[in-house]
Amino acid sequence: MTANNTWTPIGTVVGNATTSEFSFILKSFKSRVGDLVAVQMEVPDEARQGKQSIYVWGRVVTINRFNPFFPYEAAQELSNEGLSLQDTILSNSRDQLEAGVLILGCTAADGNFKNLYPLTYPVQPAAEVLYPPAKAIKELLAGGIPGHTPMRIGTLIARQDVDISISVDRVVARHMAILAMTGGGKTVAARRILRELIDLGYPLLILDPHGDYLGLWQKRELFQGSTVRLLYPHIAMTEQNRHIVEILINKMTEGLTEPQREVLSECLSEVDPEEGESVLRYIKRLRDTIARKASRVSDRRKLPTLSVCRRQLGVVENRLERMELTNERMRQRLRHLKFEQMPDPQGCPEAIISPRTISILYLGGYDHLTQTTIASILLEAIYEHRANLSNRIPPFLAVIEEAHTFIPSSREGASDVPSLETIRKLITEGRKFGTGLVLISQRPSRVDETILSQCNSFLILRLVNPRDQNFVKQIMENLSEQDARMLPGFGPGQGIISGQAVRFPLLARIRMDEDLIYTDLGDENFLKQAQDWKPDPHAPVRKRVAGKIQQLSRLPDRRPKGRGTAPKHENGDSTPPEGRDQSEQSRWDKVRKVFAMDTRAIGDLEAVTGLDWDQSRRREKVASYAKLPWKKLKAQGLSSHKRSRLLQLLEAAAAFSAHNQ
Amino acid sequence: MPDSPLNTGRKKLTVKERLREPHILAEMVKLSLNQSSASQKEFLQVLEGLAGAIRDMLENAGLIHAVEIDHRRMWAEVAGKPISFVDGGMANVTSLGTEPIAVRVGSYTVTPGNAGEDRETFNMEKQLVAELFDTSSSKGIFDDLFEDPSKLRDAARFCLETSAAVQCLERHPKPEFLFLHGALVNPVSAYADQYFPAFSQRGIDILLPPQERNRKGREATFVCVYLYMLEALARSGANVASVVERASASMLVSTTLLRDLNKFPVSPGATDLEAAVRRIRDFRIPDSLLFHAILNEGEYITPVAVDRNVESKRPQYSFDIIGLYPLPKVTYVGVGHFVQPLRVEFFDPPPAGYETCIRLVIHACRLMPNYAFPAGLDIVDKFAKVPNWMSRPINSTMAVQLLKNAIDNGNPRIIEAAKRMLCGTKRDWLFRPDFKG
Ligand SMILES: Nc1ncnc2c1ncn2[C@@H]1O[C@H](COP(=O)(O)OP(=O)(O)OP(=O)(O)O)[C@@H](O)[C@H]1O
Ligand SMILES: [Mg+2]
Repeated sequence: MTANNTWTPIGTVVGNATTSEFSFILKSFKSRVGDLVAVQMEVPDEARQGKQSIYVWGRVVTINRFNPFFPYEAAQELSNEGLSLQDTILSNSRDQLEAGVLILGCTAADGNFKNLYPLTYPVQPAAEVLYPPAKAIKELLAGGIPGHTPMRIGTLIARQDVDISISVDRVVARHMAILAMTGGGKTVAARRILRELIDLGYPLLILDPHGDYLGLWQKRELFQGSTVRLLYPHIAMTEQNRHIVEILINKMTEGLTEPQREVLSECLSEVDPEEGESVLRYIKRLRDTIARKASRVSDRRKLPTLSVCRRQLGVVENRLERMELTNERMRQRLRHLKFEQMPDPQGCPEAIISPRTISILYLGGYDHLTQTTIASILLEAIYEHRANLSNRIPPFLAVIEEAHTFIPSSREGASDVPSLETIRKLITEGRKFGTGLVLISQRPSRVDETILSQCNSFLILRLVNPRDQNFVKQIMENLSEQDARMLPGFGPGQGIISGQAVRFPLLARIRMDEDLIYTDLGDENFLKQAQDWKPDPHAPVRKRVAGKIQQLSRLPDRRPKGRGTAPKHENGDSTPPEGRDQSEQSRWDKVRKVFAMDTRAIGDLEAVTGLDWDQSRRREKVASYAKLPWKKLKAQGLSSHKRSRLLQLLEAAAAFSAHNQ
Repeated sequence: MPDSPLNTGRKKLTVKERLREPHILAEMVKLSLNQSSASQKEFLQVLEGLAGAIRDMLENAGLIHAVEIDHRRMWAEVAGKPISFVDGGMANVTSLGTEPIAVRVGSYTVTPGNAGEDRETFNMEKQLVAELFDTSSSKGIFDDLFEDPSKLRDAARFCLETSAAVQCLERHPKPEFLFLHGALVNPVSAYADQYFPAFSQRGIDILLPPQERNRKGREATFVCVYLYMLEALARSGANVASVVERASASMLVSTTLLRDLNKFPVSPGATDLEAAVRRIRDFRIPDSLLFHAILNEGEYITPVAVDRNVESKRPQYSFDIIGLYPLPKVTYVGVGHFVQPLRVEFFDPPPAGYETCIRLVIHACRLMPNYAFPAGLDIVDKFAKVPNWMSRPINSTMAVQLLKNAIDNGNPRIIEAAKRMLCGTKRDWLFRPDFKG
């Protein structure tokens, strides 16, 4: 045979060989786990008339080392007697290495390794195991998948002289999962894949909760002819996604009861989103609508329901506002990066997905729920554009980091995460519509199993957690037991790549694109930050202003008759308790007159004003309090804080009715 | 009841006590299984009586020796002295139909106390049986002419093992002690008539030194070549010993010993000793059992010269040659309460270090499970052994395929081998040394 002469023999087949695996005794250290090896063999040819010479290809999955000549009992005798092995006649020079090989398939032995067939005869015991030269392995791997575009992602773990390529076609339409514990090299691997796709001009979208991909923008001059865009979230309301308001309420608050939900949907249908309106603004408008409703409502029993709805919307509004602010602050820290507001994916999808464009949506600062909501809205919209075949946007690939957030397993008790169903759709229809996904997670066992198992290719890097290992074994049918055992031992960037993107599972070392490393946004150097920390120059200003405002807010609405300005104290705590009490007393006397004859319940006032006073007293009549003088309120068991809040409630309600008349 | 293995070494038992121990009882039951229960009882009485009497004589004649187990002293004593172990086995090599039966002989030389790279040397000879013999005169070695092809293999193994031992002594480092596995001088009469094929030139070249390679006719036959090699080994000056761990039916050592005892003052007289010999023969009490009953752990008897090539069995063709064969000196060595004593053989006269050899055997056994076999020989046995996979039940599809091929092929040798492969156990693959006294 031709090539055989240059193929080094590295061992001899031993033991029971099957068509799927064999073992061989390895000449010392001639091979490593992950190596591809070959055995030459004669099998009957297809016509069953003559013989045909083939190479059986396999991957070394285990190497065990043992001293076959060392009896176990000797160890005991040696230690009992305090002897060293060297002083006796025992042998210690004959360690044996037994390697386990998973068979990948066979090719003709004539040097044409394009076609890999399943093996139908076991390899012969005592056969010689060969170490193919890099060239032969390259040919085998280059066989790849006929007609597919290869992308180089690294080398064989055991042989850095052999590059590994995976099929672009399979990744972009049949999805890929990158799973590893934190620090395993997921992001590095994803960047490698993205790099290749950028070179191909493939439209890309990245959901980036931690800012791991922002550096691509910095390095954008490396991607000549491509555009890198950094986006920050903007949830625009549309006709279709009004339900997200409900989701947000359900998730961010303790939720709504059935009647409350009715009120909300009523309002939702009444308030139409305006063009490009943000959720935040929409929610503000909803709240106003509810307030107005409350003031007009005829059936006063409805007031508490309205009040709760309004309050919950307030909570959502608050939190959204806070998160928007956090995201903005985080972006400000990255001042040298240029962020744009996320375009409306529905009205303007081509601003996000287009050829030679890589859009990175930075989700930092948002909580999981909001991240998933944003993802859901975005992905849903662009999916629709693909699915309705309008051809407004090209096929694309979306990279989803922290997939366990966006598609959590039902075991995580988060079944109605908004992005779950959206991503399920994308992944099941990806093949039809060209909506490919790369799912990345450091906790595979927390990812939805059915969605993850739709991935046809897997890159599994280091995984230590046994639950994650088991999970990975379950979803990857072709992951061998030996391979699974290897997972915790991988170093950064080392892993198993398997599935449709490769001809057969390979142990890979992912290539790290050194030129994509950017130092000024990676891990934050808290040590340095702490050392360099100086008090913010604005802090004293903030403190002064806050003090002033507090001081002012304690002032009565109007100056009580015959009194001067409240005395100023430097510490800001200017009003002595009785003084405050006195001013509150006079305010109370004034406002309680308005409600002396009011038939409404406390809860009704709460609903109108959106203020909370006391849940347990909601059913009580406003008048029952209004008729009491300030001092008597104390006798009702109301603390001074409670009393102040009651005062505020009544004042607000009075103001509200004054406003609406 | 037996003690735990750790403290048995220090305890001396009487013959009677030893015979009450379960493991030796089991041996006896096995032997007397097809006898009536009355004769089973008698068997025990005879064994007990004989063992007691023989031990009595041996002790009083100073023919029983005890070895103290002391690893530190033992290994310090042989530190820096190369020790070799040689063992061979039969192998059916690789695939059927391409390679016939072969003999593999391995050797392991080790220098205790040497921490360097050169502490251990392993060597392996693999030789096809068919190539050793000159088959030009007949149609083939497996023809009917030789109804027992295993004879050729045995003869080949005897020679190759001895030759490996001789070569071992010529290598560097030259061993001071050399242990073989199996009888030191095998019985040769069965391989010595005029029909037994002579060695081929290739066989001669492999086995003999250059000045001895011009042999023709009877000179080239097994019986002459083997003798030459045994003499070379005996002359070498090294402490050569062989060890056999297997039970056999032979009564040669005990009967020879009884007759020898007549020369000692403890002897009750030739008539009584002959009566004892008859008892042994009547009851077929094998040496291994009798000495198991006689010897405590760490004890051995002064070696006895035995003749395995008695005149009555010698074929006329090589009667004179067989008369020149050395007589091995044989001892039994108690290595553990639970196992039969080992048979250890030397040339006559025994080498200067023969007692050290025996102590080495005992200490080497202590490094092994149940102390049943010396560690160095175990190592070379594993080294020379047919690889593991051959003894495992083979993948059935492949085996069936093989058998089918073999039958298509029509070669009885291959069919035989294929069958053996299908039903073969580990031991069938290795035709272990088996003493045919
Ligand atoms: N292919 C590789 N070659 C060399 N080093 C690598 C490789 N991949 C990762 N590393 C090293 O490991 C570090 C962590 O890699 P990476 O950020 O990709 O991990 P990760 O799996 O994304 O972790 P996390 O879950 O925390 O996001 C890198 O900074 C780099 O030093
Ligand atoms: Mg990462």
